[in-house]
Amino acid sequence: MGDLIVVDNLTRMFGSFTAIKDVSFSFDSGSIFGFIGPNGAGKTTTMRILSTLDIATTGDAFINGYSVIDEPDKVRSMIGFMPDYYGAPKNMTIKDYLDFFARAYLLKGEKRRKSVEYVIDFMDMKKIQDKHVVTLSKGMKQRLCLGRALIHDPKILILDEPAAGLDPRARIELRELLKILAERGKAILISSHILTELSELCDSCAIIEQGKILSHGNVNEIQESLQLNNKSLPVISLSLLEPNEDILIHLNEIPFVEQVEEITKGKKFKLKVNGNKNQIPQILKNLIDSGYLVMEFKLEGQNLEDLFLNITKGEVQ
Amino acid sequence: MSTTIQKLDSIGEKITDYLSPLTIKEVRQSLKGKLFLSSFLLGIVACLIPTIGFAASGSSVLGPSAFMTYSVIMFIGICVIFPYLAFSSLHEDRLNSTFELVGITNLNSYQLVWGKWQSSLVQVSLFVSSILPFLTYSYFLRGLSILSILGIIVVAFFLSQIVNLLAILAASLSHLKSNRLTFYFIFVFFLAGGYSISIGVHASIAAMRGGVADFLNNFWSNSDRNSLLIAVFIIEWFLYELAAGQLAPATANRSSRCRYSLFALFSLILIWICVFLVQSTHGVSLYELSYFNYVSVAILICAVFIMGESDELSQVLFKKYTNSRGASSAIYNIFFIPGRSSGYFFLMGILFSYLLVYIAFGSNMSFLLYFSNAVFWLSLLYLINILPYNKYLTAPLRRTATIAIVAVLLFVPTIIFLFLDNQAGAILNYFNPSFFKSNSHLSEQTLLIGNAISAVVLFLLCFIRIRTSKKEIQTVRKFDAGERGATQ
Ligand SMILES: Nc1ncnc2c1ncn2[C@@H]1O[C@H](COP(=O)(O)OP(=O)(O)OP(=O)(O)O)[C@@H](O)[C@H]1O
Ligand SMILES: [Mg+2]
Repeated sequence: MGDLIVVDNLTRMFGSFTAIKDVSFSFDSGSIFGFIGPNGAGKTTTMRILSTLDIATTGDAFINGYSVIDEPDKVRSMIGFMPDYYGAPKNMTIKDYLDFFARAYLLKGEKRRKSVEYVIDFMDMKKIQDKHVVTLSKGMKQRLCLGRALIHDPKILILDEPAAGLDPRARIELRELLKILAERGKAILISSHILTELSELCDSCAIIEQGKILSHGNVNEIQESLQLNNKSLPVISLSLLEPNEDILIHLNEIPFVEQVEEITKGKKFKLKVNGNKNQIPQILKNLIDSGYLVMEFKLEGQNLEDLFLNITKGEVQ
Repeated sequence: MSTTIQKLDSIGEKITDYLSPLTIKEVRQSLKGKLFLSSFLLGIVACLIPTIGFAASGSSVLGPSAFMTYSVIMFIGICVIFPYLAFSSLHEDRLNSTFELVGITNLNSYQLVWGKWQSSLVQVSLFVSSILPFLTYSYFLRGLSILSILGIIVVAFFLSQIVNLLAILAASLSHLKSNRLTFYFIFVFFLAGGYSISIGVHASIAAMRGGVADFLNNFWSNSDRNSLLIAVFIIEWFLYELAAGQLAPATANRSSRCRYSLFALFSLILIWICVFLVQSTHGVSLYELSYFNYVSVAILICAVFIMGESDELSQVLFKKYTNSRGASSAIYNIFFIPGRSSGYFFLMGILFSYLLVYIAFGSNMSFLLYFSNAVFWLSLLYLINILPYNKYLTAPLRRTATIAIVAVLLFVPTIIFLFLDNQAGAILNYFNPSFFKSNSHLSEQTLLIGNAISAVVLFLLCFIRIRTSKKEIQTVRKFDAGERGATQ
């Protein structure tokens, strides 16, 4: 595989406990890969191995062709890792903090000054650059942590739950930042519990539970494979512009509609459809042809959150 | 005007490019911190108050007493407070996992330890320069030569660097949840204590022969002492490697360099023993015999590490070498392959060399006397080994009872002897804390019995160590088997 990141059968044991088992996936630059799983699934363990902080018991991972086990030094300058904890050193300003890490990545002179400035600008921290790191709010610390991961302009970003604890605005900002970074050709691995967010952001994803990958691939592919396995009937949510008393009778007459549930009287409904996917547009056509003013017509159970609940069993390790 | 300042600024920036990033960070952090500033100011104030007293009193030659006061303040500052600050900041950095993140930058852990040490050098220099005016003042109060003032400063500086290194080691080894202050003082007390004891033994022997002056004069010329210095250097090297290993991430080879230093130490010991055996045909002096203190220390350090090293220390190596278990690679395994099972062979090697020395000098009582010091050193290292703080030297017996027993064995007799004996031999008694020593009121038979007991205790401790690690060895083997099964 020519992918930038190839994870090949990683297994990590802590004593006799298997934290992850035969985890494999791969993705390429310019894409955002979502890593989804409940607490204790092994996301952090996998990410720590990828960022050369920990070592796999068996298996290997390759970053740009370099093994994280045999050539960790070569891997390190290519990755920026943002952990899920935010320790802050005392008596250090944001600028000093970034400057220190820039030095640690062996950036010198003008180059170092520029990259520190660039990160401060990019993360929009110009106004607070002289604030002490310990005094920052959680959201700000997270922002700084992402900035730190970017300081040496790595090809790959490994972000462990970067959105945890952020307010909605900060989340949207983070999402925008990540999109920009992906457009600039970075490969981003991101883990999260906040699934709705990842469904919009990620190109592909892996769902992990109890250390095993349950499903892996393109977000749409996963959705499709799931729907094939899904035995329950598809549900459509329907809402009209104006309440209409007659529609209930009409809906019950449509051939593929198995069951109608009225949510708001004459306005909002949930339809259970009996039949294959091709028949769903027929229902919409039918309604429009009959002159109903349809505001919303949506197949439910298709976002990642629902997929997630479908796939995982909710067993905490 | 402003352009000159800018130029200077940019030159300053360029210079910092050549310094360790960690040094810059530490110096910046400490200069901004309250702790540094307050200890700095406290030092000056502590010097100012007696100065007013000296100025007010009219007597003529005040130099020595003023100098004593100032240098005590200086010693406390640079040998106690600043090392603690270094310890504390490293502990803090490990606690907030800054070091974990630094571990995956382009800096390696050796640079981390080095940078930390350098930064403490900078801080100590700043502090000393603030005390310097007072020391100069004491010169003008008369009664002192400028050389003795300079000498004390140099000694203090040197000592503070050693204590600083120890503090850094302590911080890299300390358990993150442990009480910082307690751990620091236990660790530094034991190691610094160890150093001063070893120097003290030498000084006291020298004092018996020709006085301390003689000891100091010959210190740098005697080839034996040179090898002693080499040994001390190697042990420091080993401790440095250990600290760096502890700070490095799991993907780094954290074991080999520790073991290189041990190998160097072991080779030195072998050379030592050979030279000693050759020389002994011309009669053995008390001096030479005392080196066996160091031989035992060195061997025990090797033993504790090689037998006690956790597999966590170098999983990388462990992964690579799990198959090399042939007889031919036994020697290589002992020193370079992590894993406790190789410790058995090492232990046998030590026992054999002890046996050799016993056969050669078994009749020499004074030799046995010094040999019994080994028990003290073993207890010391064992104590360090079983303290619950240590991550990489496995801690099989953590019960406080053991610590208490060892402490009683070590210190109570020492203290008793210190009060019993006020003669010249008191120092020697103090520095040789085993029960059985060359006191005039002890017969040679008592000495012999005492040493026999010492030897039994020594082997008993080793035996306990082996017993307790047996279980761990089994788990290692299991891991081994699993590993191979999985890769094949
Ligand atoms: N150092 C360790 N020693 C022993 N067990 C560990 C260690 N680190 C992780 N584990 C175990 O491995 C499993 C996976 O942990 P991991 O931190 O990777 O989960 P996670 O998916 O990141 O969970 P979360 O969403 O809560 O962050 C957990 O059961 C955890 O207890
Ligand atoms: Mg996690």
